[in-house]
Amino acid sequence: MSVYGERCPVVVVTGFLGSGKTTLLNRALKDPAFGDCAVLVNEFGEVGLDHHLLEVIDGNTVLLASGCVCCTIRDDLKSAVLELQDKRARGTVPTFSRLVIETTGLADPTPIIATFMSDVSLRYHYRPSLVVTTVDAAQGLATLDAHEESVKQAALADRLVLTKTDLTPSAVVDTLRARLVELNQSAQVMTAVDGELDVAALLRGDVYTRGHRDAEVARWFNAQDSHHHAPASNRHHHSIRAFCIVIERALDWTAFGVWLTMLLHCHGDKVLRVKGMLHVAGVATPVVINGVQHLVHPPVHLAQWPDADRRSRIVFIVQGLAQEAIETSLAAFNELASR
Amino acid sequence: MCGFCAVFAGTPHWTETASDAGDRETETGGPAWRLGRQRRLHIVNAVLAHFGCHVEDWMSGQFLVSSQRGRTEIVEQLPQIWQVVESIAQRPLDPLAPALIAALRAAAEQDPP
Repeated sequence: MSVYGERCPVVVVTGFLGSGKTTLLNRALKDPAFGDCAVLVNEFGEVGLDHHLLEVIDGNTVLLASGCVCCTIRDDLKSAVLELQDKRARGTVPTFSRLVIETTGLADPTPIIATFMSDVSLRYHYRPSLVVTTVDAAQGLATLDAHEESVKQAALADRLVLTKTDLTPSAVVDTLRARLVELNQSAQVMTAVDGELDVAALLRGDVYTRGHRDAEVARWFNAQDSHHHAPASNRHHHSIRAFCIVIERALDWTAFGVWLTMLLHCHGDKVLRVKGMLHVAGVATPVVINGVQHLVHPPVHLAQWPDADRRSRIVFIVQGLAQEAIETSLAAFNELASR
Repeated sequence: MCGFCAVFAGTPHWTETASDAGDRETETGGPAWRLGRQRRLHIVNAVLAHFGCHVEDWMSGQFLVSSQRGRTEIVEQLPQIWQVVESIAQRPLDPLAPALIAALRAAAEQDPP
């Protein structure tokens, strides 16, 4: 079984209808940083992709036993990936070390992540890496107001790419950027002008890539620290909101695992993202957790604490859950461990 | 797979991969892993008492979930325990529920460290 971080990373490119996913991908695929990527698209859009490793997904979805939409296995996606893998083994397509999946504009990216984390024939070879969400700078604010799908796509993102900024007044871009940061503080917000973007920066590692882990985690919480000083309106977003809980006392790993699995069992559909840097009792270095709805990546350790602050910090992006209730519940479970 | 009972060993759950000792290299099935499993059962049982259920280790690979009325089910991983207990208790297993939190705190006060 391969080590989690060494499995083929899967990047999901999502974004609302007309937000510039395909344009971004088209430009990106010409960049050497994308040279070893295979690309799967849900459908051929108006803007055709020109790439030597391009396959189309179509077919069925299968629900896992828990019956939750976010835990849907995309049977069509699985078949497409296995077919691509088979072609690679037979030498009919070039080798690839990264897989990029472009979703439809209305898609929820979570079932794609669920497929790679749950399916036994995929999970030992692939791992979900980054969710890249494109947001149309001109239409983004209106889209976020009108379409909950777009809010969720932004909330799940690790990278938010603002497109069409050259066609949009800078004040509008700034307002949109502020709103996205409010919605998803731990994502990196990047700008694409006419599809041009620093692709290497877009793909530059994730929390499971050696050499990038510390920087990625630091970004999660740097954004949070700076956001602390901004007025937290959270008045938009269809009740989706982000907050960071800070825990003074060291966490008992066992109690934390029991608590988080129970929380995700009951409220996983409402916990869109959870990212944490934990001070675990008896452990010298921070433990990093990273989850999308019911799905939690294997935890990893940082080599060292980024600064003198030893408190645990967990960023939640939730729909309709109260911060105080989560803090109170976690504290009660942590106390159980000392019994 | 266990040679005696032909039970397949499953993939470790994420709660078990970074071990309770915090050592990610801790071998599954080793002493630290077993200790962590016992501690996990202790905490889970403190929660399940509120729902009239109990869980035990079974073959170090599965869990045996039992209700007070004698219903018993074998599950493999922690999230499945919650699913089974919810179906037995016929009510949501909500860790945010004030009644559960109050019960956990009351139990902690009666049984201090």
